[in-house]
Amino acid sequence: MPSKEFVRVIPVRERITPATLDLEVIFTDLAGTRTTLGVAAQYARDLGAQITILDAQVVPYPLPLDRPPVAVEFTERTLRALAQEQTVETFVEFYLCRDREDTIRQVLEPESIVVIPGRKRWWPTADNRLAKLLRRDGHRVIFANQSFA
Amino acid sequence: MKPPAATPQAPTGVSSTTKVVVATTVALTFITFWQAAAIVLNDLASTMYYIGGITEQAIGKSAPWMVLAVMLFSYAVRSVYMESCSMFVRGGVYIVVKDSIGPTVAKLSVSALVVDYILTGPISAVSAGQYLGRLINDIGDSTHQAFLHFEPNSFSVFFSVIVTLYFWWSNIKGVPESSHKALRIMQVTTVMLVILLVWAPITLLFHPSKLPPLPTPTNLHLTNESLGWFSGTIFSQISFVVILVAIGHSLLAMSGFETLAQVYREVAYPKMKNLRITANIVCTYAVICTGVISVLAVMIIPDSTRSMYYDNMIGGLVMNLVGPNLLKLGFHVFVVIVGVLILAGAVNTSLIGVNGVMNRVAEDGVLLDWFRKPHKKFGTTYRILNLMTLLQLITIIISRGDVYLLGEAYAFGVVWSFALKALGVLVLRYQRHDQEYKMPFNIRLGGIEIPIGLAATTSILFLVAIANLFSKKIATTYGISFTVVLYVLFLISEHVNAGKKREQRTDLEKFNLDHQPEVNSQAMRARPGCVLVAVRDYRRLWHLGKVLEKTNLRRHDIVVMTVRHVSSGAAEYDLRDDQLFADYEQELFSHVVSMAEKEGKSVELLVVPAVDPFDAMVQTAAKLEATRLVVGVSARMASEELAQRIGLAWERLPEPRHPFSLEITNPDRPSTFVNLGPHPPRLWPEDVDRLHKIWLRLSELPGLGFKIHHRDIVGIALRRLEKELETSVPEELATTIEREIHKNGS
Repeated sequence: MPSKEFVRVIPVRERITPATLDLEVIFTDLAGTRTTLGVAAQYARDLGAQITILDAQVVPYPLPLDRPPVAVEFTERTLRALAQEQTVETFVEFYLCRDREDTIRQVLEPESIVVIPGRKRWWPTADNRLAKLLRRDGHRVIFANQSFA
Repeated sequence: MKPPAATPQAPTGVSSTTKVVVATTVALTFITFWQAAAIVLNDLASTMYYIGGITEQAIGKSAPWMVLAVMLFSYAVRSVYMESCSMFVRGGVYIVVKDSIGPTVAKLSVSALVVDYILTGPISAVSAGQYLGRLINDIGDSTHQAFLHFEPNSFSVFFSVIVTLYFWWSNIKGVPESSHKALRIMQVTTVMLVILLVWAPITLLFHPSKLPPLPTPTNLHLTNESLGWFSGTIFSQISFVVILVAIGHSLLAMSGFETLAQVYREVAYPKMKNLRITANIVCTYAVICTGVISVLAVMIIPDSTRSMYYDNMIGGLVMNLVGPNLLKLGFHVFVVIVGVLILAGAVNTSLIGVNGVMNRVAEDGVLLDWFRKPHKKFGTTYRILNLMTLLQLITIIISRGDVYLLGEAYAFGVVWSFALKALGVLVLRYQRHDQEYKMPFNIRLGGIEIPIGLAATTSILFLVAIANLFSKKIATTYGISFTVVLYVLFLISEHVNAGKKREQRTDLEKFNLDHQPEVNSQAMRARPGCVLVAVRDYRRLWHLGKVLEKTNLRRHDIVVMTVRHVSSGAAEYDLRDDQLFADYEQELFSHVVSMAEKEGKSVELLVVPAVDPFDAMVQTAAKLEATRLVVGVSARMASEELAQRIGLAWERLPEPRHPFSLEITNPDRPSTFVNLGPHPPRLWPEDVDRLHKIWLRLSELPGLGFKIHHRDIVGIALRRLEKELETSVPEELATTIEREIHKNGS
């Protein structure tokens, strides 16, 4: 049973008929995620899939978990705008957490298709570590630049 | 007891058009005591890098004993914080002082805390710069490279400015580090400490050395600078004053305890026990890393050269250990890496902390909203960050890399925020009586509790704070100036904000609402077998308290539901969000979250709109496949009637009906348990005897023997009663049953 985190599901539009395939795009930074979403949308359209942007925002100690350094309203507005730019069904899940990797691992449905913005590097990076953990959990992980470029 | 039978009918409680609301909040993430201790120690243990040098410059060679004494005194301060946490799950110094003494002193205390945070950054960064600069010089000397040589103070200023600007920018961007790094940093620090604690005694075996002189008044060599305004007065001749001044110069070794109050909210169940363990780990670790290492440093570094190492005492300790130079240099590099990690972390924490404190007071209307304007691109409160970083940079530049100077100034914020916090907790002893933990050493005189331990700790802290006021000229000038400026800023802000209508209550939890068309266990994240607690009145939540206390979350999740009553007409239409989750639900769930936090257990929150609350409760329990539905005793009806109405609602559920038990909780009496749905009855002892006697008689009949079981006899009896129910006069049967109930006294 995963420990509960602060979750904000931002209903950009109602999920009326859930698509059979869901691409989970991990939010890293605005520019990188926007680029990734552009190509992921093309991919999703071809497959009849929908996109979920997954943003796990870390709140550092000693701040309380509900008082993130970036205003929640600001993040919501940004993510909502990002989702609305897309031409395919796009949803946003926004979590405030203490640990990004743990949170993402907890909230992903089994055997998800996860898209990580950026490129796979040969040296250890946070995204490489996340990808490794997600693969170990049984998810399919794609680095956006590697797969779609 | 089985509820009376009723004709099954279609569920009427929850309209198919209305939604249920799953409410989530942040209160429900809990950490272990190891994680909590690591977070506190990241702040508190960083002082070991500079406290030894600062205190020895101020009070002489006896300084390590004073540091050790302060670290032992930290166990008392630990108890103050534990008592405070037992009353305020989310209580930092501001909340505690505001609640106990009032807003004016609270503003003073938060000003002192802000001074503490502002100084934490520069002292940590400058100290890290000193260690790094001097290491580079050592490497330069060892390798005979002239270009690897820097003036340590200038280097530390340069390094501190870079580090501060780096963390300012990362905070402006709002890119925080994962909290798991705290644990990793402490693991690395522990490795360093273990090596030191093994290597240093080996060194003492080869080069025996005397312990530092005991901190008696004759051994305390206070300079004119460390006596401050006491110098040349009669006070400098009074031993008690001299000892207080010496403690004052060592007290900043304890800075960082405030983090204990910040993490308490997230400490897991059993909360108070885990807090005690956390605090004990923190204090013991601090005694070893700050106290013992300071003693070892004075013993191992020769008196003739120790003054060279005042700004990098651990570096000096390493370079004076026995062993090959290359090995010592390697370990020195490791020590500096750990130091830069932990001290740079403290710089970051200071910016995060001060930003958090300023935002917190702004929520209370004590700071102008202008400060909280979010950054256009990043959404962070950049004006607060800019202001605080600017103050830190000015402090770094004015200090010119002098750790002693910064330490002197730093002490002001540390000691006054401790003293005011302790005073707040002491005052609360006479204002509140809900302390789950009390600092030891309390006696009762004439029915009045005298908190000797707490009063003594508060007195010591105040005496030291007052001694500091007169002995630390820099701290007093710097601290009072900053405190006054901040206090005036808070006063003006409060005055300006008083004119604005503040509609939002800050004491209520913020909830995120997930509207679902129906109750389902996946959305609730509750496993089958959960405990469902129905609540409605936030003043009557004792049943939730009992559930929180008794439930093992490894086995059962807890779901807390409230029924939003809607009229039968309204149920035909979709309700607006604010109708489903109104102010009352927010207040009710804020109390629920507060109780859950205090217990350190997570709960799932659910609002179900319904015409009939009993239908809503049983339908929810059925859909979640709960094992137990817990309700409080009703003020409007007897427990039996409550059980009956819930039982009837259960009978109206469509087949197959999920069986579960109903617990009706009374604050003064044991709970009443009722099994809903078919279940084996608990027979009266005399009925069990009767059943057995009948069985004995029947088993003697030829042909039956031991083929007959007790259950067969019950079956026959029930079928006969059923037949009688159909044929006899119901009133006669009711009279018989009523007589039976009275006879059994139920």
